[in-house]
Amino acid sequence: MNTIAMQFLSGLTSAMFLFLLAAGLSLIFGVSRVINVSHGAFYMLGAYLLVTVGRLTTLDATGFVLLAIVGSILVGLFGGLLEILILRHVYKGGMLFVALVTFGMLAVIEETAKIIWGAELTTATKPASLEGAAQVFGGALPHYNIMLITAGLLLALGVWAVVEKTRFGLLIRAASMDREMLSALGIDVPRVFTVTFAFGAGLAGLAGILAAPMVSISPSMGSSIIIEAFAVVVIGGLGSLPGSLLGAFIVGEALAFGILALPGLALVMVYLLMAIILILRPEGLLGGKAS
Amino acid sequence: MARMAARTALAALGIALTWGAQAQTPTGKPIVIGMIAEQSGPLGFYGQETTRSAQIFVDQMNAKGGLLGRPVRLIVRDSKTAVNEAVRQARDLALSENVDFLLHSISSAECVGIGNVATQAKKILFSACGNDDFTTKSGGRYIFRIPNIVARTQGFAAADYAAQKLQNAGNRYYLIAHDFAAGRAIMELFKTRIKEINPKVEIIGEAWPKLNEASYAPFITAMTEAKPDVVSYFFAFGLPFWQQSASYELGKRFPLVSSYWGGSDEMQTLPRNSIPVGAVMGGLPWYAIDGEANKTFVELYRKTYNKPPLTAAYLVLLNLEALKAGIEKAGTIETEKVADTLPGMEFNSVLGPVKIRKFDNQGTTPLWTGRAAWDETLNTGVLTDILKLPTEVYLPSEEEVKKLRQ
Repeated sequence: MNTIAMQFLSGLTSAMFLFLLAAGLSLIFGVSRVINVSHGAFYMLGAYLLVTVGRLTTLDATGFVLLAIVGSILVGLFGGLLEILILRHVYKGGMLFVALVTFGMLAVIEETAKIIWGAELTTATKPASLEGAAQVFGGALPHYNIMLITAGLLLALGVWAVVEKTRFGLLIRAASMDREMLSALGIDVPRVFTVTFAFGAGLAGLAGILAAPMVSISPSMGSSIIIEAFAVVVIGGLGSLPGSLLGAFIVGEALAFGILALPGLALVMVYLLMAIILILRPEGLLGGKAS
Repeated sequence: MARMAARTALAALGIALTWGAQAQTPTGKPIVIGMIAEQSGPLGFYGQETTRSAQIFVDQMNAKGGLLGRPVRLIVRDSKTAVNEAVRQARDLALSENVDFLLHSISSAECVGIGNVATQAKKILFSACGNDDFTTKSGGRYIFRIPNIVARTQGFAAADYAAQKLQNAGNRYYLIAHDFAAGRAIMELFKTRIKEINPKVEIIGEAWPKLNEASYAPFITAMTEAKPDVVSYFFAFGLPFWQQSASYELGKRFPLVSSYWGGSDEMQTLPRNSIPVGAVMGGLPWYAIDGEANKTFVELYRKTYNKPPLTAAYLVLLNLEALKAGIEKAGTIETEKVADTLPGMEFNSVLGPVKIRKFDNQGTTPLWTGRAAWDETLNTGVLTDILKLPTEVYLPSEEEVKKLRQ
């Protein structure tokens, strides 16, 4: 019983880690139909923000939270700027072309990061108050994992509130349903795209800051993780935020319990799951019918 | 990059000034070494390190009068940690640039392909990869490797360390390794060896996270819940695992044992609170290697790059030392004559005397295996309680090599 509960909690940690990344990806796709390959670059920038600040000063828990907020806003602004300077001009090239452009953006940002921070692997330190572990169900659950689970759930709630309860959310939902109609109603659709892209990039930056103390940091760290985040988005249904949360949950827990039953299959677990779900429901778990 | 180049130049200048008095300025047509290194991509961390090491060795040679009185030039090409790119660059270096010798960094996936290019182009190639096949199945007259960090060595060294130092820990073993060719091979070799030494050993569970695993929490929980006596592990990159497992204090629950050569490098990179104190791992730790040659190398490396060398730096250095010794002994850079001279040769390396085996051109360097700890004086993670295992016994015999090459 305890083993199962512990495994569930560690699965939840993996799930939140994936959701933080998948949320922005899904949001951007839902609104502007952009498969944003450069998402990984914003994630990487978030991580390097923590590295850079961590080298200058020792962060306590408050400083860490503050950095997470300010850092994700900065990364978001940078994302918005790139959308205005580059993406806005290529949307009409079609989905594949835009995806290729974002791939180019990823390469340029990664190479620039290499010039600034070097190609070496580096690590970030977490605040001292988030060290250590709590005793739960007779096992250890690191404080940092508890923080990650909480942050993921809060973020899910926050993004849901923005999408469902605000005017900007209304525009996002409208844009994902019928862009022409929205434009005809006199809404500045390009601005909705820019703000959404910035919001999504900010979420990636936040994911990077929160993940930084748990991973090895290098300029190419984003490109390796992004495939898994895409898998989560596809499982949940492209463009659906609740879908991404559900997708992340299923992937995290499937991995956690899958490795107990079939340890040799951890490598393919996510993709196997994706294949099965796509066969049964091609639009993903909570995705609308492809238009 | 510019800063690094400036530092290199400055260091080279410093050496030139020191040696200027006694060393002749090298003259004549330069001897060209073409190097293929993973300067970008997943192994970029190591490729940068091997390039640095090769560059200071070449600079130092030139400052001391060159090789056979001739200057040495190093051309470095980026393999991008991709086999096809590595092979393309090797072919270009061998055929278009017509370099005199080929040097490869550490990628186990790349070295066999580059080896084929070298064999076809009849160029001597030195690699520091960990792929067993490189000097056995795919080996040949022009293929050389001095560092002995193959899967057999890493798997057997871990088992020997466990047998010698952890015999009281218990017999219930749990295995965790990255799911790729080397990970699978090393765990298999570990299992075979440990069961040979101690037949009572029982494998109670296994876990195979993927190479780029982002979240190790489920793996760590599954491992601790299995309540093993000893955990044997192997990682291509251990940093995320160590970062994420720190709060679980695994070292207090069970010994972790491995001899993966990246271990010592990772301890030099991790923040203090993530050091897995007590975990057993391998490498060539600069602070634990005896001898004047090492002292000089570490000093030079520090002066040039403002940090101590990693294991990867030593791996390439060993190859270059062998190449230099071989050329000097042969008295020529003519490929066939050097290829005749190198097999069976003994030379003094940064790690002490090393022999190149006659039948497979493989060097017989030792591997350091020890426990992770934090060192206050050095202000970095280190290996302590080190066993310097003479790894020659782990290498395949002449008959085995012959059989593999058939």
